[in-house]
Amino acid sequence: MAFVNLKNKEIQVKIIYYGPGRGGKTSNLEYIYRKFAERINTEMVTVKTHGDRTLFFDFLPFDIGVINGYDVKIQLYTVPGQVKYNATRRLVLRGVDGIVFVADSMAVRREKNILALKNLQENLVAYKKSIFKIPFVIQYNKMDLKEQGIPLLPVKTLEKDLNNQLKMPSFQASAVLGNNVVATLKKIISMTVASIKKDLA
Amino acid sequence: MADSKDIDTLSAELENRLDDLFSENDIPLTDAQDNNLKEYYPLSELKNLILSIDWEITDELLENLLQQLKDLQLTYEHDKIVMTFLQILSSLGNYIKSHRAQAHPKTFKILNSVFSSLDKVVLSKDMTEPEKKKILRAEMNRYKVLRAQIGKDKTAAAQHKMKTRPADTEVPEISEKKAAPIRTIDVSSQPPGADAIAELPITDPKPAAEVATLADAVEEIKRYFHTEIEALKEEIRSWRGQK
Repeated sequence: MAFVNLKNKEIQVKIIYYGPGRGGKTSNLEYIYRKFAERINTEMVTVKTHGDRTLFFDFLPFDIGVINGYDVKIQLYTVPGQVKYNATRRLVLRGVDGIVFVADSMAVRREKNILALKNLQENLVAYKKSIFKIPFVIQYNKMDLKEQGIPLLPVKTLEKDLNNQLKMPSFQASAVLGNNVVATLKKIISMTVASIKKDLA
Repeated sequence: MADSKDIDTLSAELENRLDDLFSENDIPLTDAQDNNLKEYYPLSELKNLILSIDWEITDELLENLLQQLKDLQLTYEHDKIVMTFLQILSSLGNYIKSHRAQAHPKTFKILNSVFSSLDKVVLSKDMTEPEKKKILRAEMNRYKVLRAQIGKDKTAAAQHKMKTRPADTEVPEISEKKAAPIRTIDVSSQPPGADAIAELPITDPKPAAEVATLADAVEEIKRYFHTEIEALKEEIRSWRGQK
């Protein structure tokens, strides 16, 4: 449940970018931060290993401003994608309001996508949340690699593997180039705020 | 309880605010920002793993390294030069997995060198095929030198074993030593690049047997040290008892 301060008319929304390791979660946040740094006027916090991997999480908070009297604050997080950091992932998931699942479109990553999605479902259950009910957007990342001749999974296969049951909005994207990064972000914010509205009504 | 009318209006206004805030048309990335944005780098995971081996050798790390090399071989299955690099790295990875800290010290240096050259070949879009082959050939030569060095060390160790080992203990120990699993530089079963670059054949019937003997020799040295340490301990115990 989002933090809603009715007295101060403030809403804090926690959105998490989840997915397999090396899928592009941090790249999504980096693009948003670098592209809109001046507008969102914030700092991105990131903790990495010596090998440039996300060790704990990335954190990008920003303020959308006052909308209809409510000050809407968005908090974007990533989780470490490596399998061994499940405790950290679970910890970061606490209090989540919306999720962007960043799937890796590379053919060799097919199994890792599926495992990461199952892992997400299990971790949400720990917080009594359902993957079918939480605001959820899927991003099929690394679509730009097709031009480099690297084998990618067809979108139909990705949808069948990851979205067959969920039937959530999905975007083909390239986080490093910025393609559909913003579209993904806008969608998850809209869905999450709508969900909060529904809960409060 | 929130005022639902307030929240309804909020939703509509949110769309407009997001459009204003995240409109991409009028803010191109600056050069500096472009430099900061990382392009996709297909070898990044492999680089992490190889760098990690400098810090620590664990089962998980080596499994990940070998799996990553398999993944990359699928990705680059049509690029014979890159495939050859990956096969050399796989051979070295398997060798390290079998021998861990006892692996020949130069193995790690060559592993890094081969990766560095692979990195250069993959990232340099303007590099010609002959230039790539030249780099590959240099790494193949280093690999062959290492293989020869391992064989040489093994022979020396085997000779030392023959001189020092008492005859009555040799037979059972030999039978035990034959069980030592050596699969890393078994070039005949894993010929890196033999089918890729005709002028750089590295298949050779001898190395597998040579490496097996080297492993035997290493085992022998380990036993020798173990025996010496045990004898020393016994001597200390005896000395303490007398005191």
